Amino acid sequence: MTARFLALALALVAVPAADGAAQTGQTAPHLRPGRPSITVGGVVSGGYPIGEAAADLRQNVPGTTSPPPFTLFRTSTEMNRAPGVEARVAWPLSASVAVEVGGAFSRPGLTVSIDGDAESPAVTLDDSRLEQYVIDAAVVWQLSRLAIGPHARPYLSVGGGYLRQLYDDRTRVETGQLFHVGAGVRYWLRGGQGLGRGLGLRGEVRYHVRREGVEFAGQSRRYPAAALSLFVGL
Amino acid sequence: MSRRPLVLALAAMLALGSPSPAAAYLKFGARVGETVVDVKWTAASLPYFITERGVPGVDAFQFRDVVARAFATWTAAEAETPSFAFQGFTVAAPLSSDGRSTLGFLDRPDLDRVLGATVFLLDGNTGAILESDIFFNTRFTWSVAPGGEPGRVDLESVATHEIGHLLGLGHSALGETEVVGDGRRVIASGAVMFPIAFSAGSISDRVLQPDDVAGLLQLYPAPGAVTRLGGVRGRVTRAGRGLFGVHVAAFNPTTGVIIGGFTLGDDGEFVIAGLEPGPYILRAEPLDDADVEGFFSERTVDIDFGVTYAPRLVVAPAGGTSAPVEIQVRPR
Repeated sequence: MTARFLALALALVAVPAADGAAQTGQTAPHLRPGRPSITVGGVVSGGYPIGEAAADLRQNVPGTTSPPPFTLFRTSTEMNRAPGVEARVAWPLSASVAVEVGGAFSRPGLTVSIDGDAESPAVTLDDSRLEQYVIDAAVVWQLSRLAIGPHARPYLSVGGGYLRQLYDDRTRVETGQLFHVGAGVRYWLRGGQGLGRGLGLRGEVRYHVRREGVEFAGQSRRYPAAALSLFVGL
Repeated sequence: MSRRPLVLALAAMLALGSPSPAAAYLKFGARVGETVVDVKWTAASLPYFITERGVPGVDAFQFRDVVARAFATWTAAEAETPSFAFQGFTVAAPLSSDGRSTLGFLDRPDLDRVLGATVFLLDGNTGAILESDIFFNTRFTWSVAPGGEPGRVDLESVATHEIGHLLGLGHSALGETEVVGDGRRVIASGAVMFPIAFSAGSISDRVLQPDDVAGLLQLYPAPGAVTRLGGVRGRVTRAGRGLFGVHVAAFNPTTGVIIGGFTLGDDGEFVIAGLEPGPYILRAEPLDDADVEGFFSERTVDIDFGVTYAPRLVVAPAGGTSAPVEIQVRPR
């Protein structure tokens, strides 16, 4: 899974780089301070485990009130890879730094696997869907000196936000925090070098750290994500 | 007010198997008019007496102290149980219908597999418990040693189980057994209210398990418990027809807690309440870890199916119950 996202990340960077090699010498595209832009697109989040558990009974062992456990069955649960949509508003503070706020929605599935039951073969339960909402803020630093062509510039981002996950029958909500670092490329289809409104594509890979939310083992989780979107300057 | 003695006597903890598996907290019910009501205490205080009789290894004072600890174990759970107050020793034997709740040893050679049992006197109009006696069978050798004694039955463990009955709880089926000779040996259990005792020398049933507390909360809900806790519900079917008497265990993968319940109607429906809100994995199993008759004496229970899991996670919301889930079992 992680390898796929890395491959996509390299591709996103490599394409504009090839383009730029043929058109060196032109003015680098840049952010326009004080002129916001909107980004809308899709994102794919990688899957990750959210915990293993054992259904334990008390074993019949004399002489102790804390006998060793007898495991009736074991479970392991995965949050599945999920596509989603996201929208962001960026406010450039300078030609290379912007702050962004945004939101994302996806419906990841939970897959529960059960084994170790002496009376049942191993089973995998049907996926349970979550509704997942993320509201976050990020700082984006465009690497204007790293020329990869006349229309493209790479950038780095770091941010964090609020995570809200609802089970599919909407009867229970889990909340948490989501942090990320990311790297991407903006490719201007139009504008970016003058006063005209910019329009372009943006590809980004991120490394997320999730705290709390739907989690069965009380741990922080890490997973990759990749986004491809359209941005337009206002 | 009419009073009638009850015939719920069962409530026995069995030494070596024999009838009664159980479901996670079954509750006792009494028919009042056309309805069945929970058998429970409605008084805030429960005075009790101790029979002034000891057995080798346990004198009356030790018996009193052990019983007090067992009562305290239940009152320590976060439920609105009545308070228990020792009133003194009595020459009266347990099981005498005298308006006093009495606990003590009793010779019952006819019940050579029964460690102890609980009986009730109920208010015929309300189903409220008026008196409840518990006897401990002198056919067995008892121990009150803090760490238990090999070959002796731990009095506090059995007292804790019987006091669960005294409060109105039935048996739990959260346990695994194996057939040994003409009886059963417990391999493991998930409730003090499992009907068959651990081996002599075991003391682990001095400590309640979550299944026991969930049952207690059903009868004596603590303030706020109804809105704080949740439940799961569903139906167990085979070839489209509901199954009665299926044990359904709800496992919370976040907390590791496992709590059981039963299908209690011909439609195969079940509700397991008193759960911490969150996701649950449901496991339906036949009542084959003890004899069925002790739980559903007037019903036939189908145990010819294999362990089956609910097809998906089920989520218990705070203050409510889950969307229903159907568990389709198949013949073994």
